[in-house]
Formats: sequence, structure tokens, C-alpha cells
Amino acid sequence: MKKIKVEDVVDGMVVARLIEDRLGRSILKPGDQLKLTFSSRLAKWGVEEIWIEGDDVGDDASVDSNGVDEKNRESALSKLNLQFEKYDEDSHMLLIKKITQHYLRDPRLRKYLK
Amino acid sequence: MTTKTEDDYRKIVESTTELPTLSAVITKINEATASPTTSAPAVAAIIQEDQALSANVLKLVNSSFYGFPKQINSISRAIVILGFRKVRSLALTTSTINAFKGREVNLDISEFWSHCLGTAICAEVMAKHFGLREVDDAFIAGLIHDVGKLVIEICFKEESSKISGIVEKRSMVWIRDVEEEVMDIDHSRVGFWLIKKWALPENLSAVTRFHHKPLLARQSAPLVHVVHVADIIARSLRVGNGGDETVPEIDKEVWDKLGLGAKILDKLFDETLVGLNKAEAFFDLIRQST
Repeated sequence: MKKIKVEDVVDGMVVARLIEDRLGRSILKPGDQLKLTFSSRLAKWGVEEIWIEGDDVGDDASVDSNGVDEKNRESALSKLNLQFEKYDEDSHMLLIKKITQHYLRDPRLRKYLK
Repeated sequence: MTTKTEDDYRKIVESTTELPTLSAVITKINEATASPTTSAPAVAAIIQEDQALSANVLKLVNSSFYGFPKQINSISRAIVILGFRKVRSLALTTSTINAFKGREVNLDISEFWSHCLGTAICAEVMAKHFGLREVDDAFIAGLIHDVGKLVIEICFKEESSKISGIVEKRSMVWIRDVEEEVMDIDHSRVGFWLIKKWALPENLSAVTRFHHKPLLARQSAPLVHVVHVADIIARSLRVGNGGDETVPEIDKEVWDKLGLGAKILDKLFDETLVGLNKAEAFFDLIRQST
């Protein structure tokens, strides 16, 4: 089990602890599957962090099950800032950047990140 | 810096024997599929003239990318199920990638084709989503859009090494800007000359020519628009490498014409990832030809 920020939610993650909104109403229960699209809805309901199933990621757990270094993903995410630096006032490109940020965290993309 | 004019470059591309040629079968397929009276068995017979090509096409048709429940054992069956244009697109895909096999270029050819494959998959996703008439050509259009970069490497070695030197030295510089700086023309124009030389359909020459200036396309504009966006999505997702690490600016009129927004883009990104994860047979094709 590990705690993640709602913006890091990707398709297929499994809820490990009950998720409630800011009024204490249940939103998702343990065992429910998450979708990337839940990320913005959870944020809207005031949820910032959630617990999901899976191994905790420590300093020594830098290689995922596909053998891809987590550092590659982090490097891709920081490079994304450089790639979009010149579009700071371009709402269209910023939207593309935001969506890309989500998908760079998607396990399906990991094998393409070098 | 160039001492050559655009006309000089064009004449070199048109007359050189350095550039690869496509299988003669491709020309015959194009002629046959352009005719409304051509039958499926007739096109199948043409493709089967090239056994290696037929085998490659069947390998792709039977891959998890298409996910047919039963094995498709013949080209004629593939044409019945997928249609002429789709099978032609697959034949062109294998021929184009194989055509550049063994060529010495500065670009990492495997990364280059991976970028083109990412663009092709995304272009097909978009063409289906937007209901394009030319949906069956979207994949090959995406795959072939940057072919001019390889032409520059093969035909203009001096310029090419200057271009790659500048890209390596400067941070976040778009290869197209450097091509303009060094040659006064870019890969889209050079690629257009190759597509013409190869006598490929005009929608493919339009995509190659206008994918960075999509509003100038007079022919097959929707297909050009889709490849313009697909290139940007593939670059954002860092699938392969198109020669540099930048993400070009999206044309705002194309954005409006396609009605892009958060919801649609999210769907396009997601479906592109689905496609990529089923495209192992295409990545195999790239690995075998590099």
C-alpha cells in the first residue's frame, strides 16, 4: 500500500483505503479501480492524497516491474518543463503539457521512456 | 550558409541514384487501387509477386494491433477484411521502413522510426475519432511524414552534419529551424520531392509537404491537420525521437477546426497508448530493419 497525490492517479490503480470527500461522504471503497479521469474529480471533491494498492516506493525501489528506472520518468517530467518553457502564455500548449504530465506517469508509457 | 538554391536541392533529389527505391510492386498496387474496377484478387495477386512483402503484411495483419480472432492466411482474405487501402498502407509501411535499411545516417534510425510509428498510431486514432474519409491512409501518412529528414541525411551529407552538430550543441532547438538556417528549406519540402519521386498518392505528398504548415494544404487538408497534431502528441509523449527534443507549437486554427479540448485530447492520448501497447509487431519491423 502506498500514498499518492490525486494528480498521480492513472488507469488501473486500485484503491487501498476508503476515500471520502471533505464532508466525510464515501466516494470510493477499497478494491475499486481508479481511472485517470478520476484525478480531477477527486481534486474537485477536496481530496488531495489517497492510498492505493502496491509496493511502497522507497529510495532503493527505483526500478519498476518492467525494468524501467523511475528516474527516467522523473527525467521525462522535468524535460517536459523545458520542452514547454516557451509556451508559458499559450493556453493550448499548456493544456497539452498538462495532459502529457498525466500520461508520462502512466505505466503503459514506461517502456518508451529512456 | 547554403550556396545551393531550392531548385538545386530539388534537382539533386530528383536525379540522384543514392535514394532508396520502393518495391516495384508498390507502384503496381497504387495503380490498381486507384482504379474503381480493380478486384480484391487482382490486388492480392500483385502483392503476392513480392513474397517478402506479402509475408510482412500478413505478420502485421495477424498481430495484436488488429486483434482478429482467427488467423488471416492470405493477402486476398486480408483485403476482404481490411480493405484495399488498409492493406496498401501496410505494404507501404513495410516497404518504406525496409527501404532505408542499412543506410548510414546521423539520426538514430530506430528512434526516428519509433517517432514516426507513434505519429502513425495517433494519426489513425484521430482519423477514426474525427471520422475522416481518408481514415485508411492516416497510419501511412503519419509514418511517412518526416521522411524528408532521411533524404537530407542521404543526399546532403555536409548540410546534414552541420544540422546535427547545431542540434546537439544548442539546447531545445527545433531541427526544422536549423534545417532552414543551414539550407533555407526544411525536411517537409525535401520529403515532398521524395514522395513525388516515388509516385505515391497525392494525399501522402500533401501530408509530407504541409504537416508543419497545415493551413496551406489545399488537398487532403483534414489528413494534414490530423498528422500535424499527431506529430505533436507523439513528441510530447517522447515516443522515439524525431531528431530533437522539442514539441512544436500547435496551429490554433487546426485546434479550432478539430474542436480540440481537454476531454478529446485525453481520449486521443489514451487511445494512442492503447495502440502503442499493441504495436509490438511494428516495433519488431523497425528493429529488424535497423
